[in-house]
Amino acid sequence: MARNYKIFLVDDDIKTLIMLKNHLEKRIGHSITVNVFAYGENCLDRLDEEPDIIVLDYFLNAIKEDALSGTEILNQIVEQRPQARVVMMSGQEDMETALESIRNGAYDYIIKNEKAMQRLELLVNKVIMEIEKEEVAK
Amino acid sequence: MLTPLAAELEYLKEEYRLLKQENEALYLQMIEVEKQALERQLMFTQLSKASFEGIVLYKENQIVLVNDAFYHLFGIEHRQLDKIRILDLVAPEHQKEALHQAEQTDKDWFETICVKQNGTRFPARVRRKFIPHQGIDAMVIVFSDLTNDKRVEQELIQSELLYQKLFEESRDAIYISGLKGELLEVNPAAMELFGYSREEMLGMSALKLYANPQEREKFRNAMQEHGSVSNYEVILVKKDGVEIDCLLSSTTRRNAQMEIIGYQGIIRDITQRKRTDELVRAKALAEHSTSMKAQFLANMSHEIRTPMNAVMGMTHLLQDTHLSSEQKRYVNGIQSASEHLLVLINDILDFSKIEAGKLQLEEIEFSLREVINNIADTFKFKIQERKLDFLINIDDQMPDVVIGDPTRLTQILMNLVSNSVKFTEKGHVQLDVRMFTEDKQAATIAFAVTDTGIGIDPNKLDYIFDSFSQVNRSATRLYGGTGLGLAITKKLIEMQGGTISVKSKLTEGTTFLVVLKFVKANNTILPNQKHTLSEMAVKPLGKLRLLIVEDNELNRVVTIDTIKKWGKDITIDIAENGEIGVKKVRKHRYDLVLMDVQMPKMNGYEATQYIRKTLGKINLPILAMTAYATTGEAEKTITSGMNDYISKPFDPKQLYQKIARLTTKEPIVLLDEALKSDGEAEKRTEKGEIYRHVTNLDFLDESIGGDEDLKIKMLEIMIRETPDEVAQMEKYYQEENWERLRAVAHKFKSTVSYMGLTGLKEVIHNIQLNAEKKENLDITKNMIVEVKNICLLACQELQEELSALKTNTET
Repeated sequence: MARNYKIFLVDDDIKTLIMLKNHLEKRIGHSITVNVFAYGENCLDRLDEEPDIIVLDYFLNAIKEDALSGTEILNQIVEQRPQARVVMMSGQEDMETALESIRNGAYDYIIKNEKAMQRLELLVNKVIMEIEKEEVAK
Repeated sequence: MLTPLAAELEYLKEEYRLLKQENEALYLQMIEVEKQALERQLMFTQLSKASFEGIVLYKENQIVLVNDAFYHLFGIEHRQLDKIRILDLVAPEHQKEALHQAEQTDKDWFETICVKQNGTRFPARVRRKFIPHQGIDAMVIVFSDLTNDKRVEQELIQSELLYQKLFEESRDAIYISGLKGELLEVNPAAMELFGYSREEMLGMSALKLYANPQEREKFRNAMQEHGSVSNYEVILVKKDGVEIDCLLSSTTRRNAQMEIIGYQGIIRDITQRKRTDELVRAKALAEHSTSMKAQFLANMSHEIRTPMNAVMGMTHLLQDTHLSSEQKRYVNGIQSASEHLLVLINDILDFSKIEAGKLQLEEIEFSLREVINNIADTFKFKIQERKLDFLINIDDQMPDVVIGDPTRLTQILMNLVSNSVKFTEKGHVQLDVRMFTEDKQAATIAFAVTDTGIGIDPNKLDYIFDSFSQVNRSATRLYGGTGLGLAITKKLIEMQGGTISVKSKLTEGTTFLVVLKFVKANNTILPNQKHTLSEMAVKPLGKLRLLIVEDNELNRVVTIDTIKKWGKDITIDIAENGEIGVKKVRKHRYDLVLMDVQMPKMNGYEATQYIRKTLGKINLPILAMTAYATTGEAEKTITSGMNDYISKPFDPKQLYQKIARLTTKEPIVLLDEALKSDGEAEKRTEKGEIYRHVTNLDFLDESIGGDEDLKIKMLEIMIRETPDEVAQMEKYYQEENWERLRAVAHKFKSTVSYMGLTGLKEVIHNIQLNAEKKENLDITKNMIVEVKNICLLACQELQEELSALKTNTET
């Protein structure tokens, strides 16, 4: 039986969270659970729930000034749960940061624009396929 | 036997001594020679070391001796010397030629390219000299490195080229002429400047280039006197006869004997520059005359207002006399025409005051609701007449009392509303007043005036705030006006630090959005000074004794006759100037003095001072009447001791109210928000689509894929969060907390894209960048204001969308 995939979304903009969650839940054919977090810290607290994919915004401090940045969260995820694939999101001009994130262990990145949702959908499907293959191999 | 032996011994001893002596002398000599040799060798070594040239002693095809410089020059080590053939020192490709040169006995030097041990090539001069060495013919060969010499040579050639280039490519004309002024050489710029070919110019007399031959004489004299002339301004003439203004700089050319053999010089065409100078002067003159014009207009307007006062006042009075219906129609015509004329004059006056920088703003406490109610009052009848609806929505959260300039706010809103009324044939005119943001000190309030009128062509939208612009000329004829109203409105708004923007759709309507920030007043309630219009008729002013101090007879008549209608028990005295006025005040007890400001023999201010100080009548109410309706004037009336002022030509209603207020101890019946009773405040516009939307929800709709619940949720979040986010940006800007401003602006980007506010993307991005780099912070403020204004409209639109959506889902 196909298993359930767990996706964490981390963004300080609630609108983005709602839109992404809605989009994924509607469009991904597999069984998924999407949890949303406005702060990276909350996401870290729940890494023991074994998320398969974590979608992480680079800037997270719009609401809370001293919130950990996306990069800091990424580093902790890589350390605490390396199995999770982290997809970084950044504004158009933060290309450099996105690439840096990949060097730091992110799985891929998404530039926040009109195509972001479609791209995330593609990436999630891709990851699920990879995980399926890995699990068959085992 | 012993004796001869002894003698021989003596002899031998002597011999030994002599020999030893000789030996010592020789030894000393030897040492001396050795020492000299050593010294010479030392000197030679030093010499050879000091030399920069490589020296070789060459004998029987063998290198016998070389100096230090040789090793250095060719990069050869001492131990390698045995293996070196002399020909190896020359670069292989030059060896053949070098050999050929060396064979020519008549020349003891040649140049070639040598090669160092490491393969580096260098230009060298090779010299040789035959010398006998130890009896055999030998040769001394000297190698000199020419690298530096060659470089100098190269530089020389290049600098010559450079001057050539300079001459050829100079933008200024350059010439060389002979003693008689015949041109010997000219550069291409000279040919271009004068329009002659080189052939035509060479040999031509420079005199031909002068527009005025006497100038040439003057120039030559100057040259002979000073030897050179610089920046000599002269008019020269082209081949086609066109005269050009030029600057001429010239020096004499002399031969070796220092005799003058001619001239050389540079000519620069300054025609363009002179023209620019003239334009600059013309511009300054134009600017000066603009301000003169503004001053003139201000003066003229004042001159016009005075007779207007008489016209309007007399018309009012005439209306109350017994008139035939025909006469009544004519009088009404006069009245409406003069009212219109007054509006035009006021526009011009305001505009010229703004242009001349003479408009001052007041900062007093006032009630926003009252300003709105006044506007409602003013337009009520006019709008009803035109069968339009007038809808007014006032935000409940709006503070009642703020600090600012109520007169100018009224003027701004009146202009916009009357503009809307003017251009709307059917439908409605709507005034929305909304609190946008608020903190402890200040409230930012948005006033939106919307109509369902003819709309404005999108191409014209950019120009509507320009002076003298009405959207089209035919509209001017059709709707009238100076075309200054919106220009004045915009300037008044900007003077108060606010913004105005417009959205319009042809044939559907126009919305003007004004955003102004007011400081909140500590008082929350102001004494209401409003009187109902009907009161004027029913409530006489009571028993009063007034003094009118006014030099203009017509104005006196108007004022007296106007006031007399308001009560049978009113006594009015007259004074033709301040001096007479003061005398009357001394003699009689008045309830009120109406004081003209500008009068011969003691003006209104002086008279007031006198009444207050010398006569000690501190409590006598004095109402100033002035034709200069400026804030400065108003202030002056108050500071000089008058109680209030009214501008001429006065509105009888206003005069009544002012007199009533100044002469009555108790407040007259208050007017409650008249509009609320009409139920108009509750009316909401039904038509959502009256102007071009700023928002575009396509992206949101597409992303949501028809999920209406989700859309409602998103709309609610955006309507709720957007003003907060904008307020945060403002707050962080105020606090100069750039990092936070950057963070919030960044986040706001997604808001902007969900709302489809494409025009704001760039703005938000720039706010973020500026905050990040701490650059352009002054204009960032305007950007935030722009974001605020557009978001205000956007939120209204989202609200409408949300309401529509909710109604749909309910049904």
